[in-house]
Formats: sequence, structure tokens, C-alpha cells
Amino acid sequence: MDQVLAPSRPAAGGTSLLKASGIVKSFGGNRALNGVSLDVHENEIMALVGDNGAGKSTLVKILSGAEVPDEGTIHVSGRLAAIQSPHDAHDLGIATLHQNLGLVDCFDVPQNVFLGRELSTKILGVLPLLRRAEMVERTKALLRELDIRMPYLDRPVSTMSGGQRQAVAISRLLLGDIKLIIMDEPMAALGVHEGQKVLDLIQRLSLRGISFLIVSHNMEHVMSISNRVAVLKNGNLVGVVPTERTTRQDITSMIIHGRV
Amino acid sequence: MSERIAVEQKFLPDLLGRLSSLARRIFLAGGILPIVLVVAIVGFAIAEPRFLTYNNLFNVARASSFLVVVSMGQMLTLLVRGIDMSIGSTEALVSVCVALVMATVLAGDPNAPWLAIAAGIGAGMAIGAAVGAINGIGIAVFNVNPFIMTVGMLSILSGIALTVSGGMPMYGMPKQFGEVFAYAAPLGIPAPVWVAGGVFLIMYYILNWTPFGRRIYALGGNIVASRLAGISTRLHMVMAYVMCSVIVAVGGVLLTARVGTGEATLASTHVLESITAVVIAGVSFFGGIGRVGNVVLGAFFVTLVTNGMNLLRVPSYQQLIVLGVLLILAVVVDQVRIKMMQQVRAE
Ligand SMILES: Nc1ncnc2c1ncn2[C@@H]1O[C@H](COP(=O)(O)OP(=O)(O)OP(=O)(O)O)[C@@H](O)[C@H]1O
Ligand SMILES: [Mg+2]
Repeated sequence: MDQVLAPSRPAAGGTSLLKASGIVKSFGGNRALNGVSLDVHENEIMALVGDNGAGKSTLVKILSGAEVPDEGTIHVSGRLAAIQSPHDAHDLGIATLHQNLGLVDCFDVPQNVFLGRELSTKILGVLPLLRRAEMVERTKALLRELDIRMPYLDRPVSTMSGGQRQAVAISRLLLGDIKLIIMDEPMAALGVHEGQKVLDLIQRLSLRGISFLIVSHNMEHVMSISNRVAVLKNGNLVGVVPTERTTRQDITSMIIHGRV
Repeated sequence: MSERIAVEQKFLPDLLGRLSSLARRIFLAGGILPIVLVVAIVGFAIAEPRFLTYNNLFNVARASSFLVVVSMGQMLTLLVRGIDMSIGSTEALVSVCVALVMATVLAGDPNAPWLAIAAGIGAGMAIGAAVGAINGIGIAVFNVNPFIMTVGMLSILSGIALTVSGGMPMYGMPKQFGEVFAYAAPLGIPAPVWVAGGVFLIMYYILNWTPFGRRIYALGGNIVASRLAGISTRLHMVMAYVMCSVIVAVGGVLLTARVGTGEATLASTHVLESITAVVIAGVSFFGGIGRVGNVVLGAFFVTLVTNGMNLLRVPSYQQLIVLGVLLILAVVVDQVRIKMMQQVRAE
């Protein structure tokens, strides 16, 4: 019955954007990922689901350069990519929102947005000098572009609400030329209203041609936003299914029983 | 008449409310320092008229410059959520080695005092860098707790300093060393104050205006987030300790010039005093928060309290008690401030 409905988004093009093959990662004796292969296409929103401890965050960390896999390869746009650090991933157009947001609490908004990617000039050709005013301006422009309203930028983000912190963390992702945004449970800590705003934002950005890989436990969100769903269980990929051709029950059963 | 009372009744609580909210904001922004500094100055000025004389304040400025310098070093370790318990013994080892190198070079060529001075200062800086690198690598690479690491180094460094010096003051430095680095006063400002000012400018620039400084704060604020943002946290942590110890070595050189001999027991009070100064200045034990300008004032404040107590003839044993109480109070206030900052969110 789902096929009858015209897809609301452009169907996944099928051109590979990020292709992970045979990813293995162990922590001590504990195999978090047991040879996982995953292919995120251009212009698609892929959901990544699985029980607690299935290995979702570990996979996210590997794709974002925060962890290095024991085995396996990653191709970006068809080219073999050596992602050894978050900088490498970012240079390849991959930005990541981690499960704990990755904000520095005592920093204000522009300081967080430009964390690790501070703008600076060289005075006399050698001495670096932060371009603080420019970072503030670019932060404002970024928030305006994303239609995120924030009452003040110059206070520590520790004084902000969960939704505002989320907005800061998300706007961080869009610095630079980004093709794929990976989000690890972006709606987890949010209320209904704030969660919906994040979903809207994802949809808007997706219309601009940015692909998403989104980890979520919320089946309703998964069904409403994704083109395809990938299911992990105990470090193995159970399968990838088009969202239109599946049901919540099917996916839940894949998560629990580990088969399609 | 009744109208006036009504206005006053509205005005007074209003004013009080504003004053208390102002005090609260000053407290949140700068910690307890601005408040205690004013209290100390007013208190000492009332109790002892000599306190507020130009000569006395000049003395305090000069005397505080050593603590100002090493406190700026200590600040770096707190910014990265650590601590340096070894700064006093770093200064002692620097002092002994500076004296040894200067005396040796001067003995080789009595006509080259400036060569001896340059060699001595160079040796002092190199020792500072080496000590900082060992502290930093132990903490950042081998994950030794900062307190344990630097207490271990405290023992090692003072052991080396005592061994090299045999426990005796070391003589034989060129007299120009003291003349220039301790007693000269270009434009009426003592040399150690000039040096402290220079260190302050460099620190201010690095911490507030360079990506490196920004990252030092970041990794103290949230080391995991910093790593995820691509910051090489280990390197930055090691660099913070290296900078700390090099700055402390500058303090050691200045003190050696002042004392006139190499001393293996130099600056034993600096650890306690620098931590007090830095924490009073609002540098958080939890990392990532603190301003170098406030640290300068904090070190000035601690010296001022010591000076005031000297003028009031408080015996030195009891001064120790006061300093300890001050440190503990500063830490308590730091905790309260952190709590208050988190509560601002609720408003
Ligand atoms: N740094 C680590 N050290 C040791 N074990 C780890 C580490 N990170 C993850 N693991 C283990 O790897 C497995 C997968 O963890 P991961 O965080 O990827 O799960 P997850 O699917 O994200 O779960 P959740 O839904 O709870 O976030 C777990 O068994 C976890 O204990
Ligand atoms: Mg997870």
C-alpha cells in the first residue's frame, strides 16, 4: 500500500556518498562492531536503529573520525578515504552531532560553534590572531539562515535550555562545505516541540541536498523522516530497508530478533 | 511628607535590590576577588595608616611580582583541569642551576658577566621546559593524576636541587645580574614588575587572542568535546604544563636575582600562595574558566594580605593559618559560584 503514495521527498538517488565496508571495532575483548557494511546515498536520510549497546554510537564515531576502526574501509563519493581524525572527516564534508552534543559548557555560542575550527589571521605573517568579531558575525548569520532564534549569544551554553544547546550543536555542523550530517540521537533529550523543530530543520537541510545518517530510538521519528532504515544488532548489520516498504512492527522485530 | 516616605520606601528596596544584583553579577563574572580586594585595602588602611602610603604600595607591587609571575603559570594548569604542586621546587632547582651555570661561566672568563648571565638564564628556561614536559607527558600521556604527578616531581626536583647545592646557598653570580634583574627600576618601575608585565602581556595575548589559547580553555571545559572537535588534546595539555613551568622558571630567575644566591629552599610558600591567588581570582578547579588579569590581581591581593599582616605585626606562624583559611574559603566560594552559574539557566 505504501508504494501507491508518491514519495514526499526525492527518492534516494542511489549514488553512493559514504560507503563503509567490513567495519570491525573491538574494545578490549568486547566486539562492538563485527564487520558492518553500510552505504549512505546522496540526497537521502538514513536512519540507524538498534538496541542499547548495538554499536550505533561506535559506528558513528568511526565514520566521524573520533575512533579508528580495527578493520574495514570507508569510501566517500567513490574514493577511498582515510578518516583518522574529526578534521579528516570534516574535510571530506562529514559533520557529526555526537550523543552528548560535544559542547563546552563554559563557552558561549560563537566559541562553541567554532570549537576546533577557530578563524584567525596572521599578524606580521607569524603571530596568529583570533578573528573574534567575525566569528560572532558568522555565528549570527548561520543561526539566521537556519531560522534558529536565540536570545543571547555571549553567555555560557551551560545557562541555556536543552533545545537551545541542541541548536548550538546543530549550527556547528554547518560550518564549511558539508555533504553528510551524522546525528547520534538528536531528539533524545528534547521535548515534543523542540524535537519537532529539529525534525523540521533536518527536512529543510535535506532539501538543500545534504544527506543524513540519524541514530534514533524514536520509531515515530524514524518512520516520518527517513528514506531508509538500517538496523544494527550486537555489532552486526541486520539489514537496510526502504522506509516506505516497511512498518514499525517490522523494524521493531528486526531490532529484537535480528532478522528481516 | 507621606508622599516622600512612599518614594523612599520604594526607592530603598529598589536600590538595595540593584546593589545586590550588581554584587551578584560581579561575583559571577569575577569571583570573590573584587570584593575581598576592596575589603582588604579598606580594612588595612583603617588599621594601619602606613599601609596606604606610596612607598608601601610600591613595595607591595615589587614584592608581589614574583608571585604574580608564578601564579600565571599555575593558572594554566588549573585551566586544563590540573594543578602544579611542584612550582616551588621548580623555582628552587632553577635557582640552583642558574647560580651554578653563572658562577661556572664567570669563573672561566671573569670579563664576560653578560655571557654568564645569558647562559644562566638560558639554563633556567631549559630546566623549566624540561620539568613542564615531564609533568605534562606524565599527566596527558600516561594518565597520572596531576596532583600525584606534580607532588612526585616536587620531591624529585627538590632532591636534585639539594643534591646539587649540598644544601648551601650558592655564590659567585655576576653582580650585574642582581643589579639589573632585581634592583634596576627603569621609569621608576622595578625590573621584576616589568618582567611580570611582559609575561602578563604574552599570556593575555596567547589565552585570549590565539586559537591555541582558546583550545586550552576548551579542553579544560570539556576534554571529550574538544577531542571530538579535532583538537589534539594531549599536545595542548603537555603544552600547558610546559608553559606553566617555563613561566615558573622566569619567577625562579627573578627571585634568584633578588636573593643574590642560588637557594635550594627558595619559594617554598609559592605553591600554597599561587593556588590561593589563582582560585581567589576566579580560576575554576573544574577547568576552562579564568582570566589572566584577575590572576594578576589575585597574586597582588595575597601579597597585600601578607604585607598588611606584617605591618600589623601578625606573627608569621599565624600568617600561615590565615593563608590556609583563605585558600579553603576561596575553594568553597568557587563551588558556590559554579552552582550559581548553573542556576542562572533556570531563570
Ligand atoms: N570506549 C569504549 N570502551 C569500551 N567499550 C565500549 C566503548 N564504547 C562502546 N563500547 C561498547 O561497545 C558496545 C556498543 O556501544 P555503543 O555505544 O556503540 O552502543 P549504542 O548502539 O550507541 O547504544 P545506545 O543506544 O545505548 O547509545 C557496547 O557494548 C559498549 O559497552
Ligand atoms: Mg549510542
